[in-house]
Amino acid sequence: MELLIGTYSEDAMAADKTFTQVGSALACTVKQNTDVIRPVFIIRSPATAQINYCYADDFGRWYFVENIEALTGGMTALHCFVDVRSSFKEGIRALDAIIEKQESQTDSNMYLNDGSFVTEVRTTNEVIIFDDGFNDTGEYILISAGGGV
Amino acid sequence: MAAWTLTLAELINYFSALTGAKVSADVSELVKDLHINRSEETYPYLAPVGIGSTLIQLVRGFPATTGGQKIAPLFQSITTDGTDYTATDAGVITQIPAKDFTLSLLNALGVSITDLSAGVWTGVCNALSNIYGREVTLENIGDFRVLAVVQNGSLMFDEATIKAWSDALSAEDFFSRGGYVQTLDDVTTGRHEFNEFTYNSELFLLLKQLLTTMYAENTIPYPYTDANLLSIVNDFMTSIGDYDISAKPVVIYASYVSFSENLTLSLKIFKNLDYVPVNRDGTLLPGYHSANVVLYASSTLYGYTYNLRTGAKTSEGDSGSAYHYTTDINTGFKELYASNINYVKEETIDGIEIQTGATLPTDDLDLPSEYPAWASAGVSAGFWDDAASLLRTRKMIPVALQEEGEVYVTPQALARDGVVDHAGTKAKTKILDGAVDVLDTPTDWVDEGTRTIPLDVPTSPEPMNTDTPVVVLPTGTAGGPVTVYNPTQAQMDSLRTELWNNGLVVTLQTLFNANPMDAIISCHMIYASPHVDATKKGLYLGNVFMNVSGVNVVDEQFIEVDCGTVSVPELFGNATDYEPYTSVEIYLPFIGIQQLSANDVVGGSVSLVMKEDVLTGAILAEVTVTKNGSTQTLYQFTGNGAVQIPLTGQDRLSQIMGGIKGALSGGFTGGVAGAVMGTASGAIASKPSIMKSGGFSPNTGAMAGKLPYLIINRNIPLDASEYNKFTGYPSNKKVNLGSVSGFTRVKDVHVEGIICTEQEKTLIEEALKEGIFL
Repeated sequence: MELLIGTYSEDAMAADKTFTQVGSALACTVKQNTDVIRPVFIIRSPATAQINYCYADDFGRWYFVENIEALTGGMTALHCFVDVRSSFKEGIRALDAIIEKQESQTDSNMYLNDGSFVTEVRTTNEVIIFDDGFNDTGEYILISAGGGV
Repeated sequence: MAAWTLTLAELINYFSALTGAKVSADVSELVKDLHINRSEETYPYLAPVGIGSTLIQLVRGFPATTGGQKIAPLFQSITTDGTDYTATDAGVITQIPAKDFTLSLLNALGVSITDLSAGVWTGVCNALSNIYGREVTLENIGDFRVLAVVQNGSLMFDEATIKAWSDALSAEDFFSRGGYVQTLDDVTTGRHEFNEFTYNSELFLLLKQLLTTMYAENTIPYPYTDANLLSIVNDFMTSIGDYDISAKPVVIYASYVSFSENLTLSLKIFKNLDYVPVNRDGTLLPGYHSANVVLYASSTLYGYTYNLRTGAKTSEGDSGSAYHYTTDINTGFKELYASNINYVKEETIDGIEIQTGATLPTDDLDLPSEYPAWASAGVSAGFWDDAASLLRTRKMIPVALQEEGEVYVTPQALARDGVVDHAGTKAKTKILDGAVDVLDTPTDWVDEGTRTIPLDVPTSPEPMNTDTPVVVLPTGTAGGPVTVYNPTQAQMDSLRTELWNNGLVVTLQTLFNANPMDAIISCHMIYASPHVDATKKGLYLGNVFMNVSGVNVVDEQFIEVDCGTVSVPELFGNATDYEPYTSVEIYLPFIGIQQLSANDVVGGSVSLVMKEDVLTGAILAEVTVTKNGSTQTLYQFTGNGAVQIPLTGQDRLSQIMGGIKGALSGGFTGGVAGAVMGTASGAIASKPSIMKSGGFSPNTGAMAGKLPYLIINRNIPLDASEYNKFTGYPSNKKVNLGSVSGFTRVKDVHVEGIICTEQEKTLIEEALKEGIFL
C-alpha cells in the first residue's frame, strides 16, 4: 500500500483541506488488528513529527495522524483516524439535510431564536410619542336634570 | 418523503385565493375528486437575493385530481375581459436550468442569441450572480434552477422571476446595445488630442514625416517646400469645414496615390465618429500612427487628392458609412492615421443581436405596462408555501425554451408564447436537463415522480384578510332626560353665584322636595373637547333658569381622540427585535403604562384611538396594529378621565376617600406585581415584567402626561465579530449540502448514497452534526 504523508493547516472540520505532501509516496503496511477507521500504518522511515495528515491510496481515504510512534529498525507507526469530512466530501455534498446552523444569512433564518443571540443585561429605551392625545386643559361638563330649553 | 395532509380549510382557502367567491359553487365538485392524503418530497432551493424580489424556500402544490399521489398545481386562466375564471388542474410544475431560462428570456425580451459566445456566457453568469447573490460560473451554473409550469403545451414562468431576470440582464447591458461596453483603463496613455490651434501644424508635421520617409526609402531627395505642404494642409482643413474637434472623434487618413515626380497625396478625414477606432487586437490607438485599424460604425467622410508639386486638388468622392481600413505597420509610413481619440472600445457582444422592431425592457421592467399582451397571457397558479403555511398564487407567463445544444434566433413574439412545437414551425422548445419534457402529458409526468418546486414569491407573509371589525361609535345619545352642558369658567362662576341665591334654593326645594343640589347630576372636567350643538342654550336646573345664557350643550355622549399612528420598525433585523430580547409598553393618559407584546407590534405600526364617555368620563383605549397587511385591534385598556368637581361637603369627602383608596390600590398592586414578576423571571435575556404605573384615578391622570407614547426596551446586542463563521446563524432549513458554503452544522440527515462502512456513516452523521466547513 502506498501512503502519502504531509500536513494540512485548515480547521479539522473543513471538507476541503489543502494537503502539503512531505516527501514522496511511501510504501507501508497496516498493523494487524487495526481497521479502516483507526488504522496504524507502518512505514520504513524515521519518525517525524512534521506531519499530521495522510492519504492511503488503497483505502481511498484521508486520515488524521493522531500519534507517531518510533519503532525499532527505522520503522515508524502512524496511528491514524479517518477524516470522513474530506474522504467523503463529494457524497456529503450530495446529501440533503436539515441544517441547524449556517454561516451565510442566505441559508439562515435570522428570526429563529435558538438561544444563540447574545445580549448584554444593559438595555436601551426608545420612546416613540404619538402625535396627538388629550388636552392639557380641562372642559367643564355639567349634567343637570331637565333643562336644555 | 413526508406525509402531508390537506385540510378542508386549506383546500377552501386555496380555491378561494385562486378563483375568488365565484368558485365556491365549484368547490364541492372539485373536492370530491381530491385525495386528501398523499406523500411528497421537498427540495432545497437557492433563494435569489439582492434583486428586490425575495423568494420562499419551498412550494408544494396540491394533489392531482386524477391519481392523487403526486403534487400538481392548480391553474387559473388569466382573463382580461371580465369573463369567469375556470379552474383546472391540468398542468405540471417543473424546474428549468437557470441558464436555459436566461437565454430563452433574452429572446422573449427582444435579444436574439445567434451564437453562444464567451461574451454571452459572461453576461449571463454576471446576471445570475446578481440574482442569486453568489458567484455563478460556468462550473456551477447548472446548480441553479427556475420554477416553471407547463400547461396546454405552454411553458410559463413566474412574473416576478421574469422581472428580476430582466433587471439583472439590463444591468449587463444586454438591452442597451445588445452587447457590453469595455472601457480601457489607460484612457490617457498615448492619447493625442488635437485642438484648433495645433491641428494644422501637427498634421503638417505628420505628413512631412510620411513623405520624407517614403522618399528616403526610394533614395529620392525630398523635393517639396514646407510652405507647399502647409498650404495643402490648410486647404484641406478649410475644405472640410469647421467642426468641434473636441465634441466627436476624428480620424485623418492619408496615403499616397502615386509615387512619381507629380506625387499625389490622398487626404481623408472621418469626423463625428459614432464609435472610435481601436486596433484589431484591442490595444489603444496612439494619437497618430500606422497600424491595423478597425473602424466601428458610421462616420462622415471627406476626401481630397492633392498634387503635391502643384497643390492642385481634386475631390475623391468617397462616401460611406462604415469603414474598415488596414495597413501594414511593418512597411512604414506609406499610410497614416491621425486621430484625436483612442480610449474606448465599444462593440456589440458576439452572438447577440437586437431583434428588428423589438420592444426592449426598461432598466426597471414594468411588465404589465411594457408588455401588456404578454402580461395578460399565461395562467395564475396556486402553490402552498410550506415555510409560511400560506397559500400563494403566482402569475405565470409563457416563455418558449430553446433546444438543448442548439441556438435558435426566436422572434420576440414567438418566444413569448411559450408554445412547444417540435415540428419547427415555431421556436423549437424542450425542457432540459432532467426536467419533464413538455410533450409529456400531465399523466405521464405523474408517473415519473415528484419534482423540485422552487418559486419566486415574497418571504414576508402575504396579507391575511383578518382585519378586526370596524367599531362605530354611537352618535347623538347625549342628553335625553338630562342636559349635558359644556360651560366656560365664567359661566361656572355665574352658576355658583346663582346657585346660592336664597330664592333659588327655596324654589328648588319646592320642586325636588330635597337637596337642591340633586338637580345637578354631575359636574366634572374632562380633558378632551366634547362635541357640542351649534345652538347655545340657557343653563337650567330642572326647569329653573340659572341666569346663565349661551352655554354649549353637548350633543354626542361619546367622543374619540385619534392619537395617530407610529411605526415600530425592526432595529436589528433578527430575533432580538422580538421577545424576549425586546419589550414594548405604551403609556396611555388616564390609564398608565401598559404592556404590549413586542411580537405583536415590532415590524408594524401602532395606531391609538382613545374614546371617552362625556357623561361618566369612562375611557376606552384601542391599540390597533397594522402589520403584514392586516389591521387588527389587539389591545383595549380602560380608565376614567372625569375629574369630579365637588359641589357639596359630602361630594368632597367621598372624593378624598376615593383618592386614598386609588392610591393604596395603585401602590400596592405595582409594588407586589413588580416584586413577584421580577423574582419569578429566571430565563436568560427574558425581560421581567415590571408594572411601571399603578392604577390611575381620574385626578392622578389629570396631573400626568396627556400625550401617549410607546416605550421600546431593547437589550444591547453582544454578538462577537464574525460569530457566524464560528457558530453559524440559526437555520432549520432543508438544503442540499452542495448548495451551501462555510460553516454548517446539521440538525438531521440521512447518510445515504455514500460508499463507506456503516461505522463511517455514523461518523459522517456525527461530523455533520458537530459541524463542517463546506
